[in-house]
Amino acid sequence: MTRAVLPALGALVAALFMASLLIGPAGLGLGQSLAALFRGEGEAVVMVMRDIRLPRAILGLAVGGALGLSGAAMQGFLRNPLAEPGLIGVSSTAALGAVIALQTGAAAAFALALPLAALAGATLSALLILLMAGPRGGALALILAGIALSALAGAGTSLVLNLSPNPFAAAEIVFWMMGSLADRSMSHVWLAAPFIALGCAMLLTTGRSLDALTLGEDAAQSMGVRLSRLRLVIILGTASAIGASVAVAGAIGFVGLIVPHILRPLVGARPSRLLPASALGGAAMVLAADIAVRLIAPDRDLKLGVLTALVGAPFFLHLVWRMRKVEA
Amino acid sequence: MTALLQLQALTVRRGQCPVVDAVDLTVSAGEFVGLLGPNGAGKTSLLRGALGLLPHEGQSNLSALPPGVRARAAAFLPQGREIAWPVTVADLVALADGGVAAQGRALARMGLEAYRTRRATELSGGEQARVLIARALAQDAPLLLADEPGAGLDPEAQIRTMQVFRDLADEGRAVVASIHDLGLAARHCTRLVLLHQGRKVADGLPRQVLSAENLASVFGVKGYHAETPDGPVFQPLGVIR
Repeated sequence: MTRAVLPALGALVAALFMASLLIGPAGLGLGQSLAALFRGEGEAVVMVMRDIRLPRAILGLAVGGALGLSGAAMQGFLRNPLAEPGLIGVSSTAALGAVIALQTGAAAAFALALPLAALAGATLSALLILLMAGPRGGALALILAGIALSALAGAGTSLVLNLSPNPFAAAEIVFWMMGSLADRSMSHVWLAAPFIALGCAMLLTTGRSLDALTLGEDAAQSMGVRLSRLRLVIILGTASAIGASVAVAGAIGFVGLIVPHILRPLVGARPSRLLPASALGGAAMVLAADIAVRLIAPDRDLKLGVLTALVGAPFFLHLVWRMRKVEA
Repeated sequence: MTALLQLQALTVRRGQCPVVDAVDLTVSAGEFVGLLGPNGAGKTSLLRGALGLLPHEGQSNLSALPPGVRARAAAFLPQGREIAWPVTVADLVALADGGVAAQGRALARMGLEAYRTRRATELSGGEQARVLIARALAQDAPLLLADEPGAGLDPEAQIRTMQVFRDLADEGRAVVASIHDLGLAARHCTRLVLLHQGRKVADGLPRQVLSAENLASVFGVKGYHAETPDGPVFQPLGVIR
């Protein structure tokens, strides 16, 4: 069964990616839509496919993959099933950067100001985390520094909301923070994809070290793992992948926490097998959720992050319930 | 004789206070060294310092090696018995990276062949301890450093483990294990090293190290010591202080 997991997830992601391209309010035919991806110029169907649906599907794939992969890496590194990518504070600080861009009007003046400000926030938090829990710090220092950074960034976001000049500005910020892939362009893809690809590539190299870490830090080091290097790769890889994801999609909760949870038993619990599986699983979950928000309420702009949390949190409770029964 | 472990004036500090104080120790191929001493004597710190897992002063032939090279020179069984994820016994032993043949031998030596497909986290504490010993054996290194390998094991598993370690030594490898059971140490080790307050206070054959004076001054116990046809027998009898 373990061997069939990756191909099955790959097929699921491919199918959802196609579905994401084919579902939308424009109601285009199958052959017509796919043809428009590759042929033609200037027609409405070509613009819908290349400028609206394609970036949305690519971002769903990339953001979901980043969330699932970094969640699995973070859980493996901290040896804790409750860890999630936002734990080191990258998501909150990226969100703060974006909120500041919205508040100052920079986002309205220049379309990429928001994602760039979010990336700047993520970079800053990664540097602060490395400073406080860098080569010599332990896992506890990392978690505590991440909690402190998240709290600080959360306070900053609240301050911006508090000082917002009118309810519309505040509403814009609140809606952005709910997380969405609607109305993104290819320039969002070009901005985020390199960072997400780099971060994911870094995280995918950590499999063997995370496997060894299953037996604790001393055992892992005695098996040849360089802990300080591993910590650096995990922090920078997560910051790069998650910072860029938040920059283009806002905060999408629960994917990084729940996907590794679901897949762990299916891949025999080894972190090295869980990493690629979680990347595919995260992509599948975000693509599916993004299709669902289009189908459930096409006119109301239901936010992606709201749906993932609405579905994810009860499912997580169900897992906790089952775990409780096993442990009892 | 090849020296597999060479420590010169190894000192490990916790704060200002040395917990390992200028210990010299050379262990050669063919030796099974029992590391003895009361709680807090510095046994764990000595092993971790020797591997470079703790900052230390003095020399250790292992601590300066790059981690990948060191993993081929020495295997380590830490005191903490952590298994974070429900991996199978076969997968856990395969973490050691010593090759499939070594993994099979390690499982056989620890009597775990029937456990291959079991999830390690679902085993009892003693079974988990045996799996972790097998993992260290599967690393197939010439030197094994084991921190309290007997903790949590039933008498049979304790004796088997000691016999496995003695076999490794007889095959030309070396084992250094911290041991609390003085009787097992006396019976199976080729050599004992006694630590007290971070210092090495005795080093030699079991019957020399487990002398009445050492037992009284280091452990505060008196003991019964006899030579039998099956080998030396040692039994702590009572507290002196």
